[in-house]
Amino acid sequence: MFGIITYMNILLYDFLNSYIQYDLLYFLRKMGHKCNNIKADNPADKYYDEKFMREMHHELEHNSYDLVLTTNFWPLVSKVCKEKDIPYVSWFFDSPPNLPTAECMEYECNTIYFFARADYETYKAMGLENVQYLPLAVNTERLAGIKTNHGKYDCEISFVGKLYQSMLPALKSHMTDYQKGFLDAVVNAQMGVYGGYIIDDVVTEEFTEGVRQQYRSLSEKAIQVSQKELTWAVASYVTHLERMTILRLLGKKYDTRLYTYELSDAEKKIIPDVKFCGSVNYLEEMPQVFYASKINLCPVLKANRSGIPLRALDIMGCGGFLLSSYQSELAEYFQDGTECVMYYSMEDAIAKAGYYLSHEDERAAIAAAGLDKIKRNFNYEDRIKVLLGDYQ
Amino acid sequence: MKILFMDWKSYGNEDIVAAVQNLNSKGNKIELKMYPFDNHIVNDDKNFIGSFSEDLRKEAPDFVMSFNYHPAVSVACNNEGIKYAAWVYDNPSLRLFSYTAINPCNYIFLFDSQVYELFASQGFKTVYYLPLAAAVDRYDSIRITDTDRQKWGGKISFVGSLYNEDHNYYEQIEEKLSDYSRGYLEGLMRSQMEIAGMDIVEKSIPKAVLKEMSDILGAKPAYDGVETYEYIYSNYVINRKITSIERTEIISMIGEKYPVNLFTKDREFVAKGVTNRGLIDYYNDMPYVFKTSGINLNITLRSIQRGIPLRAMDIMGCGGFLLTNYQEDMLQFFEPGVDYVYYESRADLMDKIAYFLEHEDERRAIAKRGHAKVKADHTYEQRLETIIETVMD
Repeated sequence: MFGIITYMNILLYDFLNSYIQYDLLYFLRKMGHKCNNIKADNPADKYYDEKFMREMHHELEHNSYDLVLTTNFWPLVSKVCKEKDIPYVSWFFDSPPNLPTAECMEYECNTIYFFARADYETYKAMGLENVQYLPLAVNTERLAGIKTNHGKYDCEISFVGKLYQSMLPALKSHMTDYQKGFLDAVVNAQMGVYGGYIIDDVVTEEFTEGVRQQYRSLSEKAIQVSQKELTWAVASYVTHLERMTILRLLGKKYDTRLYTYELSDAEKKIIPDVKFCGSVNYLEEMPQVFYASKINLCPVLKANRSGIPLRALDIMGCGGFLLSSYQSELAEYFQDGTECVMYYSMEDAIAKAGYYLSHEDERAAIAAAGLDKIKRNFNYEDRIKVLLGDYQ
Repeated sequence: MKILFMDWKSYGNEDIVAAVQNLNSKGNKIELKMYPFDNHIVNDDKNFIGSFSEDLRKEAPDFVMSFNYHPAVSVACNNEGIKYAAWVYDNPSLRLFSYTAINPCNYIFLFDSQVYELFASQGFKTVYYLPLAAAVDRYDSIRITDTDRQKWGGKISFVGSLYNEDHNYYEQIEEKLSDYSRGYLEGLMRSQMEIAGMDIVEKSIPKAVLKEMSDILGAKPAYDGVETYEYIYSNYVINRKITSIERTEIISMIGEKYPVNLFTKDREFVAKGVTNRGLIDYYNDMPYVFKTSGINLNITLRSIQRGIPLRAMDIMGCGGFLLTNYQEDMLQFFEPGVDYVYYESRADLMDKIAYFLEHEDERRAIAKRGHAKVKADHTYEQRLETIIETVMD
């Protein structure tokens, strides 16, 4: 007997910041679903945009869809889905979710998937019942078909990613000495810890209120930072420091390349031995970097408490060798030392980079095993079956 | 076999004496000669070294033994070619960093695997890992009456110091610190409190803050030791303060909901639901607390990074139910949830207190198994045998 699969009419919105939209669409269509992918500008306000919502309303009014699908959760999309009583499936590829509040998430039309278990548990603990956990995926077919320009991209170590310029230095400049000291300590503490995230628990609402009071004492019109904004500033700063440090240390010893949008002169001075190569596009160039580099770094954003970032999956999905900071879910799905390599401190990262640069066979075996795991357990077909599962 | 035992006011002296008697009753011939010793002498006390060397020549023991490590003893033993077994139950222990630690006469038994690894990984051949013990025979011989239960018992007990004595090191420093440094240390302590199983303090004190602290307090590395400023200030000042905060906050938190019997030196500590019973005697009174309390808490001194503290051994050795913070070394010998229970956070602690107050049978079964394990593998007799075997090999 064969199962009956319903082919669905899906409306997707692409807010032009989604890496995975292309591959998601490819597989949705491959599996027989009819997709209308509408590109939209990133709205200034994620919760309300008159023009967008009017146009989305119009789209739903004049065409027949079974559900709406986006990567990441967009409250303004959810509002329209609620009004039109149409299911809205969203899949977060950001961790933590870049939303100041959980407003709109509770609407019954939503099913929200988090790729990071820690986020799923946080939102579930808030009382949301329509949330689920679903790791990301890789289109290994497409990646395998890309021809690598070795002349251009071969190197020992590379890092593709943001350096996270953080607001923290600017925020600190107006704080009291006590507050500055406190936050410096939290940064240093978090820098030394892998597999544990303490920032949100130590930078409390009480502490943040103290900062707000300090600001108010300086000026009535001073900005009033929220706890979420402050903890994000700290977390992004820690990531910035970690990435700069690891690049600096590795750059001194090995041929290290940085692929990122921009690098300030001040930053260049900190990592003078690293080759700054500008940005690479996600679909065609980045995979070549991953395949051509002997080692691909993945110092994960600290605020991503547990999840396997897309970058890590893509590296392995390209047949690249992954050297990542410890992430609990990475350790859960991939064997450290067999399918990828994780580091537990800066010193550990440097030591492992050196080791694997001089142990080519081991490195190749690990990359191959990682790719194998990706093909088996991190493919889009499986994920899509889950995403659409309730509606088929 | 003749062991010269350095007799200072330490835990466990009587238990070592009893253990020797026990071993002798099984056919061994161990003479334990007690040698009165002032453990406060400085490491290079020439008078002591001179007179002790003379006594060593006179007594000619097979080896010298002490609780904790005493450099002056090691110097004398090394000069006279006599082995010296030091069983260290203190952490921190500044004296371990004395240059004398590498004396070939030394057999230093460390109860905290983190300290053992610190020294062993640097090439020290004089260190061994040896967890502490409990005087199970002595504890088992104590009969509990209803009066005892009335006097000592309760739902939840905590025996331990709150480390908040007047003029404690942190207090001395705090009042003179710059705002920045005060903020830094509080941020660091609050961060450490979120983490179990790893010390971040020692590696996270910036030089400027460290200098401020040492300018105020004056404590500095000994001329003949390799301890660092970081080690001294993170362990003797910060980790002690963290433990003080944790113990007072946690006990107060529990007291909001459940009655707690607190046995501690600090008579002035007051909190809702907490009955402060003051200081009790380790040898004569403490076992009664563990034998009559429903739940016995252990909140380990933060400088003991992995080791099984004496308190935990004693609780289980008394047949008490142990509810402790996470300590890695426990996992080597005891099964969590089977022989004892550990908590992962304050919320988890409250959940587990609620659960085990209600599930009395389960609690008693766990305590019973813990006791059996300590009785089988962690007695003073066994430790003494291990020490003798190692030293005389």
